[in-house]
Amino acid sequence: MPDPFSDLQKITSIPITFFTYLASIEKYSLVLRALIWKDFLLRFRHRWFNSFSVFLQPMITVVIICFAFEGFVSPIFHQRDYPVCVYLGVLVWQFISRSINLAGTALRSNKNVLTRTYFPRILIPCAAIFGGLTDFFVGFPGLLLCIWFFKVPVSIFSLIGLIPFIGLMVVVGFGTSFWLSILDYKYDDISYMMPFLTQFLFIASPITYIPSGFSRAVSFVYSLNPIVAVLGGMRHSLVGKPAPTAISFSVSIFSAFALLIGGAWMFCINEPKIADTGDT
Amino acid sequence: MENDTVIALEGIGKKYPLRNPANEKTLRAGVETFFHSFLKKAIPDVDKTSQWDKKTKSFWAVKNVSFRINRGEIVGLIGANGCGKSTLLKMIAKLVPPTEGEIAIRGKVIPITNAFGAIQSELSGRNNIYLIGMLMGLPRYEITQRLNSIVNFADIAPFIDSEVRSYSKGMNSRLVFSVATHTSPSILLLDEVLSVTDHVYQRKCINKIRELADQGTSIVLVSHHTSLVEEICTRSIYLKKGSIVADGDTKTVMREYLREGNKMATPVVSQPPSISSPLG
Repeated sequence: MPDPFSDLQKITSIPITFFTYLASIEKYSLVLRALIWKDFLLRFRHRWFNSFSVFLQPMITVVIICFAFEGFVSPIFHQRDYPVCVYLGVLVWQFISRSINLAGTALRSNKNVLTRTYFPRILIPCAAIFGGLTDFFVGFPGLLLCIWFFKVPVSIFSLIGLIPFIGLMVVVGFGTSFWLSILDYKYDDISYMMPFLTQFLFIASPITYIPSGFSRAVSFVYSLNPIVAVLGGMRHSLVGKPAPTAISFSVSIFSAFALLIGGAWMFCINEPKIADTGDT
Repeated sequence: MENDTVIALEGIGKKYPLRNPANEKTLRAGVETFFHSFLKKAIPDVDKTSQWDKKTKSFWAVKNVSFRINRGEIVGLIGANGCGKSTLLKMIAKLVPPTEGEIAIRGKVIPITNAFGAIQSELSGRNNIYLIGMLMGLPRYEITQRLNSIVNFADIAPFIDSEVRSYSKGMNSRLVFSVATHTSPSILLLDEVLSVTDHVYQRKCINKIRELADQGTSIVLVSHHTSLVEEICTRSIYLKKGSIVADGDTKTVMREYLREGNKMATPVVSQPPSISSPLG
């Protein structure tokens, strides 16, 4: 066992650099595991019922959307693979809305953990994101069921092709939750804007529709929303919908990583203030 | 820093800004600033010491504090309410960054800053033991090894699988104290922890604290129980208005503290208090 007296830490008022901050996270993997475990315990306390509802939620949403758009609104949606596209959209949306609503308010709701011991505060929204990922994977078999039910031809390779886009989705989730949780903690009135933001993003992202026929300028602005690339890529890979253009794709990827790195940086510079306002 | 020193504070100061609506950048704060001219809030008059910083409208909670604590020492921090004891502990625990000065620490610091409170009241006592333990840096398997000892020390064996929200304040505090003392800390910071427990458990805790000190753990105890501090602390530090007044043998320091306290408590006929801001 290493001598616990050997490591010398210095605490000063000098703010730490971004890279030191990121490097310090590695030492606290145990804390991250504890936070994820706590989240998991709380969500699946009523075991089978909760896991079943997590599985059913996207399915019910898809059924409602398909009835509304396919049955009553317009025949242009009337394609066999439309339900599969919507299923993907709903799964991704569930993850993103969770990272807005739960991870975004995580710092506030975990105040009693924050004031207890020191660890890099960025781990709190991270843990909430991992919870959202379990929801995504619990809902995933429903997608396979949907593919089988509508007899959409899908190969194993197109399923493997989803993986990079799931990765991009996770990047977007981390980015949004970092930004929102730090802003929510700093400013009291951000939490009132969250419902609006969720609603806005739901319409601004291709969840229930498949975008087509945008002019170049509109498509550029539209692609600033990184969910566009996530869903465009997923749908292209799974059912062969037209892929987003290279420009729109790179714009989306750029904004996704800008969100992630900017959010982590925000955490780094605001870290001392987070601990400071956590009053015991 | 010598070999035996585990905590070294050099010229530590902590400044808190007074809440000033103009400093906040929220919509609400903007509205508040607008109405602020109509609703001038008065701050009760305190004697105008150097704690108030007129220029930046702030308050020094701790100012120019330096001391060293050696391995295995039990040190009591005493002083009136608001003299900076808890702030000092939070700074040593890295929960609050100092405004000036430097703190050097060797080894694992475990703060128990509030007596009541396991992490998650919806989870069972067992899960809370694991959660607190992991947050304090103890791997899962080690907690499993020490679980019996933790539960027996906290004396909550029959209730271990009940939800923590059904626990009494004393049980809650026992649980946290028991986990914290089983994580083999190098520095243990206790902030009014023993004040909610009964006499029997207090004896048990005192024995445990002595046992830890014998094994080389340094303990900093904040308490208003003068007899408790006199009993277990070999050395005491008396803080007044954020600065050290006396540091040394507990008996001498305590005598001074009590003498000053009695003097302050004696009613003095004086002019009626005027309500005006110390910052002018």
